[in-house]
Amino acid sequence: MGFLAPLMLLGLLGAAAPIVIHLHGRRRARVRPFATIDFLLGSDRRQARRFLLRDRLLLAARVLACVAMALVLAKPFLSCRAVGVAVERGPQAVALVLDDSFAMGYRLDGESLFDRAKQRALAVLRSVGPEADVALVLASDGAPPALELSRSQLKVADAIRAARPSHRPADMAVALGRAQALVGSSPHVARRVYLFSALSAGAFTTAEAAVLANVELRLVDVAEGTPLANVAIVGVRAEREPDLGARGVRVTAELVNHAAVAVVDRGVSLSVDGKVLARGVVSLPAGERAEKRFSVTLPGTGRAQQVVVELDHDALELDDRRWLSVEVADEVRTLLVNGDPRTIEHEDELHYLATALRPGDLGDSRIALTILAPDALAAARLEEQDVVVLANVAHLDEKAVAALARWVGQGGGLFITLGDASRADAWDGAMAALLPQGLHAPRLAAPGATGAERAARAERIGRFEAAHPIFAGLGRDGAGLLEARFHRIFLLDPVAGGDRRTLARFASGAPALVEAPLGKGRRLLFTSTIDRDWNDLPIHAAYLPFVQQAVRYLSRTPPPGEAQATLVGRTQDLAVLPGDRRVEVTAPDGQKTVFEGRRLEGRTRVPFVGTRLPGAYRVVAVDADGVSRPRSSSDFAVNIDPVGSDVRRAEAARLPQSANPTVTSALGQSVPTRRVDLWHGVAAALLLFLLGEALLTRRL
Amino acid sequence: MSDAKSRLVAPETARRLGTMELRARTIVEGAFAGRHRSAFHGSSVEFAEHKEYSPGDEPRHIDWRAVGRTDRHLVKRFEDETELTAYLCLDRSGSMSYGGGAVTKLEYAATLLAALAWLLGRQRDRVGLMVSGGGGPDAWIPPRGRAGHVGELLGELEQAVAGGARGATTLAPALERVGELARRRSLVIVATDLLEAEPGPLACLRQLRARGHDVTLLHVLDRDELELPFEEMCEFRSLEDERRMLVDPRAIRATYLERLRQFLDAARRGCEEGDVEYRLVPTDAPLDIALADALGDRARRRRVGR
Repeated sequence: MGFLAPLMLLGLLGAAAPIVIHLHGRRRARVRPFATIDFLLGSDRRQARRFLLRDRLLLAARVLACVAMALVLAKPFLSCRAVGVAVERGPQAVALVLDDSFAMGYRLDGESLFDRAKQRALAVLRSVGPEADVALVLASDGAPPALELSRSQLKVADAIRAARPSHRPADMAVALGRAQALVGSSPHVARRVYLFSALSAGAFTTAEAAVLANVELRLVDVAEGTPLANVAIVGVRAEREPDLGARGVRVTAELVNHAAVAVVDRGVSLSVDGKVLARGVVSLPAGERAEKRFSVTLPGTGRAQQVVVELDHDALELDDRRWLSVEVADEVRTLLVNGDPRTIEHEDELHYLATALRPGDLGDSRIALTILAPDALAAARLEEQDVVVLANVAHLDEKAVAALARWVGQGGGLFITLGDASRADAWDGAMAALLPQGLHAPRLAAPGATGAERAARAERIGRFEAAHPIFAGLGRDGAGLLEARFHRIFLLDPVAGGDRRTLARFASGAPALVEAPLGKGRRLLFTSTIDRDWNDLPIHAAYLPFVQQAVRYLSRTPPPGEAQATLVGRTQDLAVLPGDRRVEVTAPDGQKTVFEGRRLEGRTRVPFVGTRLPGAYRVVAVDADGVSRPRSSSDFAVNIDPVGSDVRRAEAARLPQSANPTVTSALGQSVPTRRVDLWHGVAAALLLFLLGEALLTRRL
Repeated sequence: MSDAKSRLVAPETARRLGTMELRARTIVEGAFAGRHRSAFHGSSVEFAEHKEYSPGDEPRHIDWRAVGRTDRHLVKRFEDETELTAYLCLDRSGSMSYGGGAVTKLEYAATLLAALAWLLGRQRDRVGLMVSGGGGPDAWIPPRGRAGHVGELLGELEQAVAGGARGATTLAPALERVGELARRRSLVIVATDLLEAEPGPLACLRQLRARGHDVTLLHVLDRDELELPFEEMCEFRSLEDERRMLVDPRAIRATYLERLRQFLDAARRGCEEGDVEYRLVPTDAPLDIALADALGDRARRRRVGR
């Protein structure tokens, strides 16, 4: 507390006057021997006490009145942390920039910073006076532009009250630019921009501070200088975890401690469909990052699961949770294209392959088979398959090749095996787009030989990449792979460079298994037959693990992780497949967005812009028959932009400034103070004391 | 009795007179100036004796025959008018020392009793005196009718005044002593302020009256005690003990007066119920008027007792 006229406090000495008079009056009380003192004592004990109390009250009232008189003259005041900056009344143009980024949801002392910002903004609005033109500018990224300056302050006040914190980070450069443009267009001489924000680092990410010309800028730190601490999950990714089976995933969450103090043993959990699958703790030094890994087996049978990693909540809850759409290969859906079907089962091109992929026709291998003739491939729904095996296919039409190539480019797996029906000219011609490497010509391992000589001169696998996933289960000795005899193989055209890999070679050096990527997909070329026509591999123990691992390796699954996640406010492209008549996207709050009619016609993708909330978004496709199917492969997660999670106070150099040096600015005033005059209250108390003194005196 | 004819002997005036006898005479003369009838004598048909004429005696009772025989003015006395025995009781407790005006209650009461004694002595009545101080009877002079007895009695009163009031009020033992000593129907006059914690004095007075004595209570109070006229802060101190009280009299006056009124009513009612003459005597009242008032109904009484 301070005093504008401290010398007047000398008047406090006047408070001694009533006391002195009182004591003096007591000393002067006349001593009077009295005979009827019984009547005084007996009749007046209670009244004497009342009188004594009244006497003391009277003394107190007089002393307090003297004190109050001195205090009023000394004009006391309190310096307190200002609820808002000093506000001038009068004609002026005022832009109220309200930081509605998600970081303003930070709860401090039981209320959110955003609520504080709104209160401060309303307080400023009430103080600028009716002659001020005012506009409200929201500062979050992607916020709608502000309306024009308006003298209807009621509307602005309603807009402030109706404002809610967004789920986006702040874009102060844009917001301040809009504010400057608004007040700059005003005919008022006084132009002021008030920024209500926690002034956190996440809100001012540009290297250089924004500079506002001819505008008086006032920063209102709603955090009032309080250091803010926040731990956030800034990223989540998922990988396969083969040790846990087909539905095993390893989810890795990246966490950041935006605080000046370390965090110890903060709880973090992973859940699916609201059920917690794993829980752990994480410790983070101040300002550091850390990763937390969870290895879990996803429940259910769906191909895609929405995984949520969640921290034990702190003051800013919104960034304590992060979603991820994880697609798991439940069953490898495999389409076998039979290029040499036979009526005798064991002579059929796919007899050994189909038997090896699905032994006993049971689901133990978790590989689902669909067998087609090459002519039917063009009409097949490739998007419902993970792997396509072209077994000794002689020819595919152009449309089928294009569809297949596009499908592989989107992540499909193509396994090509050769045989008697395969012709090099056909493959190198219309079907060349599918081949990892051009075909040259078939070659007999032992031309003219028969019997034992033929067996002895047959080709054998000379070397293979034992560490490759396809061969990983065979061991160093290849589990019989090296013993298999190849009587006939296809030689490949020599090529140089490229990203193809020869995973296995024959002893002669000819490629046996070649891998090459195509877009997001993979291709494998096996230069012999997949049945026993050209080799005896199917009767060796290595055959089954080889073909199963090859199919699993080729499984068309996009790398699980944030490929299926985006940020709030960003556009998410949704795949449109042939036959789709309607695509629905359901947001976390249940709101649906429908694409149909002209929005789908002739398009392979549609942009979805309704990513306004963080959470899991579900996609459902409706075909021409009106059948609705969840399209889990298109499901995606939306998360907040982690850049806004840094709630530490921004460096002063990054805070916006006013370019006009003649105008005052609140820059640097981390906690503005305001003077609150107290003399009004003291004067009121003085009146009360005088009134009380008068009443007490009158009663006497 | 006519007050208008009295000379109005103010207490401060009486105090300036030298001796108690002089004061008593002045008061009596003031009270009975121009009066010829004895205050105490009634009329009866049964002749008892002669006595020498003195002021206040009825002239019609002069026995002219005896005057002719003896050449002295002798007055006939009848049965009722035979020698009267009077007991005067003075409360000398500490509370009687208060005097807000010219005299203290003790001085006033003593002077008033002296006037009575002188009057009775002049009528050749037997007068005794009991002075009650702190702790009980303080002085006792038995009633006698001899010459000089009144002077002795006045001297005792003068000594009591000079000695001042002291101690707590203990009037009851003194009155009980009077009751024991008074064998004949007698006149008992008690001067006190009745400021005693115990209700004993009134009971004793009623007992005396019940035995046939003619009892009069002179309730002597100071004007300050009757009105509490003080305006400034006062520290009141008890006259009989160590009690004290700092108070603004203005704040408590109404309550005080109400309680005083209750006290006076109780005293008056107690006397009336016991057929005891009650006289409230403020100490600022002229003594001759107080004396006349004290004797007011005495002349109408024909006999003592009953």
